Amino acid sequence: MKRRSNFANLVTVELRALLLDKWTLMLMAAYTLFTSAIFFNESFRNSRVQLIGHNLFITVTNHYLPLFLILMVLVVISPVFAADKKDGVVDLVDTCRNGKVRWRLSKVAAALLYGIAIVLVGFLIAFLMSVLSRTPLNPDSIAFETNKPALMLTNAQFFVFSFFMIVFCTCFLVLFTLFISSRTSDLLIPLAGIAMFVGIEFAIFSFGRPYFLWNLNIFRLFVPWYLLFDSLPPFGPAIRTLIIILSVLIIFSVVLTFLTLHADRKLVKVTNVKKEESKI
Amino acid sequence: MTIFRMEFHKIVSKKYVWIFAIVIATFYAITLSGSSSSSSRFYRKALQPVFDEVNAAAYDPAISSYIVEKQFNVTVEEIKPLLSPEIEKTIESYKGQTYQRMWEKVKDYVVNLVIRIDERKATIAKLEASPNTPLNRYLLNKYTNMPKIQANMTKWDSWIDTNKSVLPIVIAFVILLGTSGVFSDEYTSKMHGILLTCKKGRKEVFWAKLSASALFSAICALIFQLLNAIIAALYYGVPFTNTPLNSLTLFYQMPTTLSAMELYILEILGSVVGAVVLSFVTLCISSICHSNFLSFFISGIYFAIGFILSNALEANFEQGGYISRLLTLPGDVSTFSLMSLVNVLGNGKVFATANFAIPTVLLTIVVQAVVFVIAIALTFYFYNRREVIA
Repeated sequence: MKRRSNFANLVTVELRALLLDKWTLMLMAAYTLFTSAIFFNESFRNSRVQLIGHNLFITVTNHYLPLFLILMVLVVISPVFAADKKDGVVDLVDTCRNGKVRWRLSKVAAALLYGIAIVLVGFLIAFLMSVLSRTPLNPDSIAFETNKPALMLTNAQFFVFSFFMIVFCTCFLVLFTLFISSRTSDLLIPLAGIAMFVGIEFAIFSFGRPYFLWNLNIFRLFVPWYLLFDSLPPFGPAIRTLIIILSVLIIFSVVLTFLTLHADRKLVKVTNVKKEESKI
Repeated sequence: MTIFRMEFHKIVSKKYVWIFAIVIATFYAITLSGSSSSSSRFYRKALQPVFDEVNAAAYDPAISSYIVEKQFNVTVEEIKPLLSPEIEKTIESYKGQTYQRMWEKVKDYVVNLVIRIDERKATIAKLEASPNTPLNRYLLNKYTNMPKIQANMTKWDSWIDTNKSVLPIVIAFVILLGTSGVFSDEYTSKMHGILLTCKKGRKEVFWAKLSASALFSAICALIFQLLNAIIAALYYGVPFTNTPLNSLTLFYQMPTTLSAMELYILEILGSVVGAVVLSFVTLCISSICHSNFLSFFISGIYFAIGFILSNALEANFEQGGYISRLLTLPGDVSTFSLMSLVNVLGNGKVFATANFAIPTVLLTIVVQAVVFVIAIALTFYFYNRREVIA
């Protein structure tokens, strides 16, 4: 019981550090400012914002929120392991009561919770702006009805669907960032690596080629309204695309988590060998 | 010279820079590979020998007046007898569907060229009838001195388009990776303090770091430009002749008097100069930050803002895409615009007030020169200030 509370305590401390990071606060403030400009400034909205599905809430959460989420993951999650390695904290962890495995696990759990929390806050801010500006959410009308989607969802159902897709994708990105961060002591490498990965994914998503990679793109989940429409075989119909993307990302996420938690295995082995040698 | 060599070696010996560069170059080649259809390449190549005949047909008063009379809605059968026998001779060697498609292509090239010539005449007439403002005078001068528009058969569209957005980003990414740690790594390893005990201090190191970064950036830009040219030559083919920029779809009706080759060479030059400016801005940020992580992120945001502003506010001819406004100006004068040049120079952008009209590209050069000087001055200041405190 005590050990469990210790673990929860570790997660809480890590999560608080991530949520109160100055970059989280700054980027969230920028997102709030941007969202309020879209909801309250009509001229800005008319000239600069391309409305999706005739719904401002969908436009904000499906088109602009992902950008801020990516930036937050990039700058806040990148140093999670790398910074500790650089400062030599990793070597101290073995001397602590919780040990390296629990320490790593707590960081992964906190980072995943952080991913869920920022998506939730992003949705809440957009919802709050809708309510304050009296912009209708039209929860009962069918999302993208005029475009005849393959998956017919009401706006309310689509909001929930969007939330889970974006959460899922953010968590995958968090795990990928943690994996790179756990393998290096240079803070720049996870940041540049994830920036390059996101840039390549975005370019494939924008150009629409290669088609196979376009279908398995993370931006299909970050911009979930694309998932309502059929893709060409072998990825179509829409429900099959959804299952394929989610399955692939789940497999990758599990592998990345495993590799992140066992990042220092080599180091341990080397130490053991040295111990054996010294005994001899 | 030894210090310079050491500093340059420090930048290029970072393995991860080259790993990232190789990954990104591979991706760039893959993305570009799917961008040109084999059929369009085939038709362009097949019709290359009749390029002069197609141009001559569009400038033939009898043919052009016939097309205008028909309101640009002519069939192959109608236009065929009017065209040069040389064209028929070239197309005759192809049979079946290809033969018919080939004629359709020739008809489209001629009609599109007649439309462009007609629109240019209409624009000149409209400008002559317009009030005598600096902007109208500038545009009239550009349109009247424009070289003869030609059929868009030269592949220059694809070559110039590659330099528009993706290539500058790729170059910038590698430069940021290489130079973001130049000063901050020194702070992290406490080398800046140790250098104070040396005979020559840090003055020579400062200039060596600056020149090594500039050389690295210029080499990076040139390597990627060379790679881009090789990929473009493989996928699109080498343009068989130079052509006025106005002949290309990318610059439809824009007030520019440049040729495609001139713009391409200027793009390469802009890419190298822009790369050097970007590296100096990164060095400036690196001299303030204690971590290469932060300097990479802030420099990336600096470059990304220019990219987003430049691309988000881009407009076509009808929307006034050749005019710089106060809203578009930050994007137009950004480092990204200098590295791309397609938007400001290719579109012949102009910034006009009630009293004067100047080409936006001049403003871009001036602003970037100022950024360059300020970046060096601030880097020098922050580096020396740290020295005094230490």
